[in-house]
Amino acid sequence: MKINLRIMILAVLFLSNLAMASAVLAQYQVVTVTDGGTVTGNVKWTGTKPQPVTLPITKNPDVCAPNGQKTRDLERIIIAPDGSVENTVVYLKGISKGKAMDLPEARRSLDQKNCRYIPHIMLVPKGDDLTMVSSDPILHNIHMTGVQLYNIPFPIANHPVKRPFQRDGETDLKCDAGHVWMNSVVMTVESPYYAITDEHGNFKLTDVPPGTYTIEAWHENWQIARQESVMDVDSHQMVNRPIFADGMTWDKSVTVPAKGNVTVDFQISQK
Amino acid sequence: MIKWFPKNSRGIQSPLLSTFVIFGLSLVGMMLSESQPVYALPLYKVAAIPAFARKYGLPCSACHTAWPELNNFGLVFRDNGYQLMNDRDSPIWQNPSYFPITFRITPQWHRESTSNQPVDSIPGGGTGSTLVSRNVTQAGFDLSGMDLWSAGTIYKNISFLLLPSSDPFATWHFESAWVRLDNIKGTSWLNFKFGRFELDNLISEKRFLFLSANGGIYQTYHFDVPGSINDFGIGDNQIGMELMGHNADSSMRYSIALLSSNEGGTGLTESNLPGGLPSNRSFDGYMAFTKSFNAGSWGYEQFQAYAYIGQRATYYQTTSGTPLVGLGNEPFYRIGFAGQLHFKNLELLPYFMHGHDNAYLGTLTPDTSGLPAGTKGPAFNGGFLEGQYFVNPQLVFFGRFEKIDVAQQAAINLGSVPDNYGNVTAYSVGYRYYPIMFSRAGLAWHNEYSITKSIGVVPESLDGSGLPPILNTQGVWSSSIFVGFDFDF
Amino acid sequence: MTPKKLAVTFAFGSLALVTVGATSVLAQSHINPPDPALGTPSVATEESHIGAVTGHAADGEKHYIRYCIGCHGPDGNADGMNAQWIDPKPRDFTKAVFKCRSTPTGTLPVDSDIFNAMTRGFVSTNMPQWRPLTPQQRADLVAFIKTWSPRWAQEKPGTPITIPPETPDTPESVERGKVLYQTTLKCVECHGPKGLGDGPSAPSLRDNDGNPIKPYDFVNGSRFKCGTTNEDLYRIFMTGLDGTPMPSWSDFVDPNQAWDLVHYLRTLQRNYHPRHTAKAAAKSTDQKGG
Repeated sequence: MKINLRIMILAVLFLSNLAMASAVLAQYQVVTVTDGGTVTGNVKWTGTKPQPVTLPITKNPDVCAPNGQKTRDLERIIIAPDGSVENTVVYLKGISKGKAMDLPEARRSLDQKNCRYIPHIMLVPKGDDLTMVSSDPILHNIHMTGVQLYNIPFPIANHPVKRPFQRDGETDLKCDAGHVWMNSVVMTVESPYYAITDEHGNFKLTDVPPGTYTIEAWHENWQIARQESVMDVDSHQMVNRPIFADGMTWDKSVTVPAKGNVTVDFQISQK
Repeated sequence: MIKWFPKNSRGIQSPLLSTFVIFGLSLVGMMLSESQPVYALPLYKVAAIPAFARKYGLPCSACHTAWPELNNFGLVFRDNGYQLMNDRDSPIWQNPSYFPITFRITPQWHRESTSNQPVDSIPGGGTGSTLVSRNVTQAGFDLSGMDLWSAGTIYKNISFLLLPSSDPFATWHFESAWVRLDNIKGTSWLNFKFGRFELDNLISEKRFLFLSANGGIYQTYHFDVPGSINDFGIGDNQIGMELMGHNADSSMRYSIALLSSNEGGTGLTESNLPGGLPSNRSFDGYMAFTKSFNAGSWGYEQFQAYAYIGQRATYYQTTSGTPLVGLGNEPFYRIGFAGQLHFKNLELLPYFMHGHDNAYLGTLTPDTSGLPAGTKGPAFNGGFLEGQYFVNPQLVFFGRFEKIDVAQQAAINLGSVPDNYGNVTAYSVGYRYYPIMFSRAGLAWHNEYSITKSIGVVPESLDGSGLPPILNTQGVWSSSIFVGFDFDF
Repeated sequence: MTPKKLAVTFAFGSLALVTVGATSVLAQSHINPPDPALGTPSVATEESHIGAVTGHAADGEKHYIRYCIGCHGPDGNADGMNAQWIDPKPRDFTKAVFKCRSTPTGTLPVDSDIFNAMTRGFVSTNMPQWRPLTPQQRADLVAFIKTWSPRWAQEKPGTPITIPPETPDTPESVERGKVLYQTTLKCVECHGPKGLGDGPSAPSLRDNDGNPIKPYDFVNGSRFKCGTTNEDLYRIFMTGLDGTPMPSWSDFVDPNQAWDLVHYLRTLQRNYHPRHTAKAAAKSTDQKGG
């Protein structure tokens, strides 16, 4: 009896792993979705709100602090008064077929304005270009680490530059020109079933082929893994850049009805 | 044809066999044991510091085929004045606790056995005791001499080496001491060295793999025809100055040196004349040219042609009282070629030398008196072939065969010695196993068997013990079995 | 004890010692191969092609153990036992990010880029000039280096940039280069107005691994990281030094401007002797009309 159960569990695990693996490994296929459903939902914070991470504006305050702010929020965790969490990436994990790419163009255009990356999270379909531009009259550069490694300067405003993003995964962006608070994330994705929560914490995925999926919420980490700082000998200033821990994920299961709507809400917290 | 197992030397054969047993068994032991990664060592963050490996963070194997022998990368490093040429060579870039010192010593067990030694016919020497030819054998634990080696850069493009060295009895001398101006005028073709240094021999005796009494020298590097008052050996460090140049990867190198004619002695005291009293009055010259050829995946094939032209005194300026200052210099020369040939893990080192001393040097007569017509100067031809096989950077097998033939006996001996008087044959075989190979220190487990033979004289050996045979026609065999831990820090 | 007995005793003593020593202490250095699930190229088959020479990773592995493992480590990730003592840190081959390339930023270098970097070494670092190894040995090492990162199995190297012939080195070219450096491209932010590497952003610079890094000091520096010639300098700022804050300026500089910048940058160097005089400038103006 025991042995049978063990074998059954193993068989289930094996088969599901196989399914997962094949789902992950398989290329995304575009099909016509005639009876697609919608997944909507909300991401809310539970528990004590973390302190936002800020850094002093130590460079180009005339451009980077137009309202005279002394510090800049690194935008790692944005929680509205009602607990809604912005900038959470919600997606159907491992979906292998569905509608054609229809991710918004705004999510693959990056502007550097007042020493800030707009938007903070980008979604670029695999193989597509990210268009980057600076609206600031000072020197920025976009230094990427992760799956893409471009390093491109922006000494001149309104001069866009494009680069293809061909490897799926996460890319982190930073600026080396003294604006140590600038940071953003690019997700290169294979399916269009990605959404980013707005300021109300809401997201929506449309035209999802009916079925059961794992839906995952990813949020960048606001917890500092380590600080790097060095004393600049000339100015006697300590210059810091925090290094954040890896992003965090929360999983749920969702069954999408044909031509219907299903709601999935996430509660995320300090893990 | 030299017999490997000489018939009438009784004690020699069984140690030979036993030695092979030692090698074979320890080799099998090694092969059977499991290899473990070197870097399983816990890392101790102490400022403990072997000199160049510590300075640059390279493993020993980066510069050495098997230390102390250099590979081509190590040769270029040395030619550059112990610099990697990345503007990080000057001591100012090092932590002040870094000190460029390495010491090396080899505790050992060894067995020396020499044949045809004159021993008492009656043990204890009683009435009527005469001298008879027998083997003399000694064995036991022992220490080698110690090298306290300091070398590196004083400043960018100024390098130095200081090597106080002791014999096993802790008698110290300066084996090497020099300063070198490197890359003069910004070119690697001009480097000027001044002091006491090893000649630019392609096959360096100071950095070879042999340690035993009979194997620890190249016979050719120290050979003088018996009876010649010449004391020169190309393997001995000389005092003088050297201009040396090389290209970026040392595939082409030249060396020209001007040296004192006193066999590297200090205090102007060394003399080739009997008595060894102050002598130096002249200069020797040495030149060598080396060329390497790229043999692809085999490595580099290096060839060197060299010539040493020197002079030695034939009489003293003062005769009554204390003889001082040698005069009557007569020349000698040593010329030949050397090679370092790489065939992936196999390295072959051929060497040839032709040596010739002026006739007066073979007579013990001042050159102011005449010599009988047709008197010829002592001359010899010698050479060796050495082979090394590197199983991996931590295990090397080596062997050598050497032969020296006296082509012309010294005039003073003519008629009283056989034609092959002084001829040398030498064999050596062994292995070194380096249990650790990282940048802080080195350890080698060294096993070697060497045997030399000379006709009518005792072979030259590191321990210098041994007596000439009773008859000058007898061949004297001398063998060493050497087992030791060679370590440096 | 007879010599024979002594020798035999010693034989067994040696055997015991060596066996104990070899098993309990340490023996041969060896590589820790990457996890096969990562999809790195196979050591048995990976090759490199530099000119007429084809390198083989299997041979390169042996050279790596001899020459490279002390710094670059048995895992290829710059965790060699000497890496903790040296600055700048050795390259982490598992990331496949290389400073000196002829290919655009964000792309893999071609084999000859790695070969040349290894041959030249890196000034003001512990990375030696490996010129004393034969070209075949260096090519074998290039092939082996590529087995550390799955990127070599997943991506093709970038296309090397074209470097057009150098424009004349005239005072006007230098002046145009000066405007680019000081004003338009804002190189001064990191490299400083005199090229000393003391610009206002310089203290905050970090490489990809988070280690502090300094911009090149044109005044006091010797060789560039990636060469010595004008062409090398052109290539450096047109492809960028990946893994460092130095970006690729090819989107903002056309080839003529790039040569102007090269000519200006040379004037910053301590041993710079003006190569152009009014006479030479007049001559070159005649030749090309400016």
